[in-house]
Amino acid sequence: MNVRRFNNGDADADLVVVGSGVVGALIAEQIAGAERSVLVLEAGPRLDRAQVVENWRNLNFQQRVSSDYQSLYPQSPLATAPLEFPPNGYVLLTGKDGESFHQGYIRAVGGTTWHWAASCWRHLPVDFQMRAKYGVGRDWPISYSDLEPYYCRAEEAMGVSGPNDPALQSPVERSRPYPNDMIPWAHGDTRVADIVNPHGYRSVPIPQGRAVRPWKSRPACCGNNNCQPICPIGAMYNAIHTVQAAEAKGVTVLAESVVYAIDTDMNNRVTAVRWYDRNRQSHRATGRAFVIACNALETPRLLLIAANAQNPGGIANRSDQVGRNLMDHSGFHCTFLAGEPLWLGRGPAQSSCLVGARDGAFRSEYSANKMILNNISRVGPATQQALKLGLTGAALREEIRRRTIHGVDLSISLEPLPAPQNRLTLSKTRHDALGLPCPDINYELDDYVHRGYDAAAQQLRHIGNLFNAAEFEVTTSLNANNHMMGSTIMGSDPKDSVVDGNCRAHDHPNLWLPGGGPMPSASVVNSTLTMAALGLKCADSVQRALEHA
Amino acid sequence: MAHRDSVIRLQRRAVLALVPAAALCSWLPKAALAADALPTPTDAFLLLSKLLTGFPDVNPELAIRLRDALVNVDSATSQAVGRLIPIGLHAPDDSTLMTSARDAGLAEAAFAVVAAWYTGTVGSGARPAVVAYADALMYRTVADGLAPPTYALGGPAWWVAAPPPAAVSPPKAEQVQPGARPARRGNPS
Amino acid sequence: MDVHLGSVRGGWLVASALSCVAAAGPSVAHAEVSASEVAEQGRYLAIAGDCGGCHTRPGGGQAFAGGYAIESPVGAIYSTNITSSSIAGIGAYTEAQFSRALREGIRRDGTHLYPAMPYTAYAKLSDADIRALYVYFTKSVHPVDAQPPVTRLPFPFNLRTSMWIWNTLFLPTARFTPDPHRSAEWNRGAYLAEALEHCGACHTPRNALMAEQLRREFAGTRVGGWYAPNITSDPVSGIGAWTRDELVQYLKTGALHGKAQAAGGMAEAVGNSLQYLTSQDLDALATYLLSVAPIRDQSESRARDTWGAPVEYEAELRGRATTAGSEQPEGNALYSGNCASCHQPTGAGTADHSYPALFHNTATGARHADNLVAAILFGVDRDVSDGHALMPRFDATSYVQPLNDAEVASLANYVLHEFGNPAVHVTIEDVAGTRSRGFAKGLVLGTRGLLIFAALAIVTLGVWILSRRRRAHS
Repeated sequence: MNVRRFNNGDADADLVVVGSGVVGALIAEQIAGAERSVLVLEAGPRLDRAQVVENWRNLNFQQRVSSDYQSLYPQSPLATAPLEFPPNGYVLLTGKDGESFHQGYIRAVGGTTWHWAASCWRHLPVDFQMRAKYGVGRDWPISYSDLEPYYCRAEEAMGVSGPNDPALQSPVERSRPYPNDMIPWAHGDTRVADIVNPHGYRSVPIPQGRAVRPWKSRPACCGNNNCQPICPIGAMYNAIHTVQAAEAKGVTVLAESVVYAIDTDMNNRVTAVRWYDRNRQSHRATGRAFVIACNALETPRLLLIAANAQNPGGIANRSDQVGRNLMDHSGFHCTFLAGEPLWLGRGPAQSSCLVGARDGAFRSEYSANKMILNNISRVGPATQQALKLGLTGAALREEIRRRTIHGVDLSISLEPLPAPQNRLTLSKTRHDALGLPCPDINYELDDYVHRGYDAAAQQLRHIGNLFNAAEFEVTTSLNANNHMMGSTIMGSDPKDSVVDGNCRAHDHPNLWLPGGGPMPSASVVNSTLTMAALGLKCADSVQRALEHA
Repeated sequence: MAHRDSVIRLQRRAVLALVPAAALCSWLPKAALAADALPTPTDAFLLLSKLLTGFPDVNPELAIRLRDALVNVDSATSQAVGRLIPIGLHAPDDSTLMTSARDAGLAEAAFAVVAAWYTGTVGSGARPAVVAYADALMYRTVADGLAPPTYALGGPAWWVAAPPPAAVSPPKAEQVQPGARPARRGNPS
Repeated sequence: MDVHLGSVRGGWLVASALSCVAAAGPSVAHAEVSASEVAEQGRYLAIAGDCGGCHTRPGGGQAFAGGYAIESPVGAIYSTNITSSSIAGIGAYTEAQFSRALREGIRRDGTHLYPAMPYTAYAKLSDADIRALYVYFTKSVHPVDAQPPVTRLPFPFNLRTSMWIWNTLFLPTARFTPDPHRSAEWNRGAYLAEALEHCGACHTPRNALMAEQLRREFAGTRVGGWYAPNITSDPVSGIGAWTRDELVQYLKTGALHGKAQAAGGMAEAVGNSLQYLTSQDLDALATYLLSVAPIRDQSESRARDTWGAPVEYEAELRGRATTAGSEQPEGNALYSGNCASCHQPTGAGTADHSYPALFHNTATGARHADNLVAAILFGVDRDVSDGHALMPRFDATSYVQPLNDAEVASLANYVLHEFGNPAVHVTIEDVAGTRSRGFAKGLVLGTRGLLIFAALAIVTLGVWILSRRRRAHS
């Protein structure tokens, strides 16, 4: 069914979705299939894949080797996303660990999955019960079993390839096999697993949103190793695939449409959202159901900006939890030169991961960890290092080769706990081009994470010795991993949570806030599959609500 | 194609302006004399590049673009490179060249040329210029087993095959120490 | 010596014919062959005739249950259910009725089939092969009781009875007859090509009434947005420069490295049928095809797989803002951003040929750019036992980047100029025509034929009405 458009640019639809990333796209596509009119409002522009690929190839060496995965993406001047080269100051970070929260995300049709590694992990069953089991953090109001069918649907929607051998699974509880079996390992993955697994580190295949055979006309992965800036051939799941599928089903997607206000009636039902188009003209979208899926920074930002007379503390914010409990997987890196050639960089960017420390009794004392074997080509760092040694000619050629084929980079993730002081608030001094307040973020980690760092560092030293490592280094500052969570936290008590088990706002019966924001526990694994599963659970809830309306 | 030729010709003239022909004549190597022609400044820069990079088959067109980018991005270094070129005509290998370069206070200029060839980016300041991506020499060092990212080395699952022989010695092992280095910003996974 | 030439010649003819039949050509049916062996012969024949290519809906349709919408300029023609179901399939057919459908295009209830069903080819099938197919379909194929959609074409194309005029003009009446001057292998190849694989259904141009032009057999023609090329033995316009082994390799795998790859309908033909032929049958087919009378297109000077060379163009693109995704995208930027990841900046493809080189490639060297444009728009999808080759599509449903007509034209012209035949040029209208599966173009060409067809239909109707009235009066 088609969205109604009016001459003044206003619109009306059964469902209005704000945000066209993986979560918004999956919900729009599902509801549209149920003969409903669906409008998606996306703040950013439509992207051209070839343009972004060429932007990467034309990016200077320094930025590429610094993992600048943001600059190559065009932005709308009216919808800023964070940039670091140079910093654009969109987000102000405070707090003793603010520097570890430099998040990168994309505001464009298709959202941030334009650039990710497509790692599609599930939480463990115990991750849903951190408080009950380990006495830390919060419990989810739903269980792994409640979410499990949605994990299956999300894996199907994203065409995930994962190990069907239970010995290689994490977690092992699943009701359906993966849509495709695991992405086969390259030499480096195999050798690392051979070396570390006898010591309990448990390197397993990473379930990935790509396949090595054509999958529903999606091309097979060709291993061009460029996943995180952008996949040149669309073999990796990008939410733009779901957006296109949704549009084919009749969903209307309006790009460069920045939502800035949310209207509510006397029952505190949402009646409309208002948006600015690219000419700064304001329009109104009325609807029966509303989903806000802008990621765990932009969603609370919008909810706070949209505070109205009825909701002076922000939309959906009677609990004062909107923007709080902000989490990301605190990260750090371990690099070394192994004693044997591993040739990392052959195949997709991340194919194996050490999950031995993902769970255990210790989680009542300190953070779990996972250690991703980054399969990203080491040529760039090797060249930087070799040039610093002042080499030229054949000696330089050799040294680059040596450092490339022996070089290892492990990316370690730690688990933060939800804390109310870790929050997003609206700046009183900085505003974007539309005059909307920019985000301020305060972030402080407690000893739970720092002790987890210490434990991981010890494990890493041991691992380094297993490889006869040279130039072994572990970074001491924590970096961001772009997995924002917690800021519209899920709970059964409306006094200390924002949404229920279906991601429905406690305060507004027809408003849903799915994505990373609802997640009460971070675990140590990438959050996207859990977000997608929550999105599909939310979609079922929206569908039921529309049917009853 | 015609447009590109005229652009190249213009660029060649720009390069000529930097190296006085008279000074050039006095630095001719025996080989160039034997070939019965003065090397143009372009050819001289090419010779310098081959020596410094260790690749005898560097792309001549890329050499011109790289040289021009250096003129635009960092004129001081570019002038230093101009003084380095005649040294390059004399040197039998890169070690000798670097010794002479250091003596003449031109080591930085030499490293700038090397870095530009290997990374495909000229200059590292506020306005670096990209002259090459896939053609950057750093990728050639491992081209038998890795393609430059964004390019496939084979069809799906090509990477399960064994990688080629190392052909270099392994790094020297050390005692494992935890190091201290500032973290990278925003390193997504 | 008293030689009765007639009887000797006659005897020799009979003997050689028998030996041809026995050694090659149609299958042999001995009384001793068991029913299951006959069904197995039928199964192989059904593959060689590629019945499933139309009668099994791609993307999960049940075997032979029909429902595949074959797009024609006048609407969709749905393939029928030919499983052994008596309700929805051909389970109630006698062998004679089955034979009539296959060779004359007339269903059990007397209605005519549209020549989308290649019964003009199957008309040449031997009785033994018809029997084997009948046994296979009515005894071995799992019954599916679901009715596929019914074909409903607009007036006057819904008047199937007009097909009897068409059949009178164009339907062969003779079964395949081996040529006694040719080897057994050649005859087998001829039978495979003409009666079973029906190569001419795509590769032979059709006349105004949509019948194959027998004098231009295999000369090549447009088919549904693609171009089925000239596969005569002409070394420039056809495949005459290929060796038999090369042709067998192509037919068996759909790819001949450094020359050609099957896409569109040919990818289906390889995937559904040709890859399963025995090696003797493939040799025979290749032998026959390489003997087909050469037909030269005088505008061609060299074979379509001999054009082009690797290209260096990175220098044109690096260090400046790309035009890909802009209002005026340039061909080299479109190629670099959309294609070079697999086909490489030089156009050389990968060393393992998974992604083919674009030079020395029939898709870029051909006189007609249809296949290049179609490959860009619809991709290449070829599933053989070697592996599933897929080049993604770039039309509106692209997983990579939907390209508009101007972008496709610019990209195609870049590829043609850099890697293929630089004299070939693609316009935006060409792209739009291919995108509409050739029907925008085909309609113009076929309109005349369709009007004649319509006229015949109306005449038929008129004659029938008059004859009814005359009977009523008398």
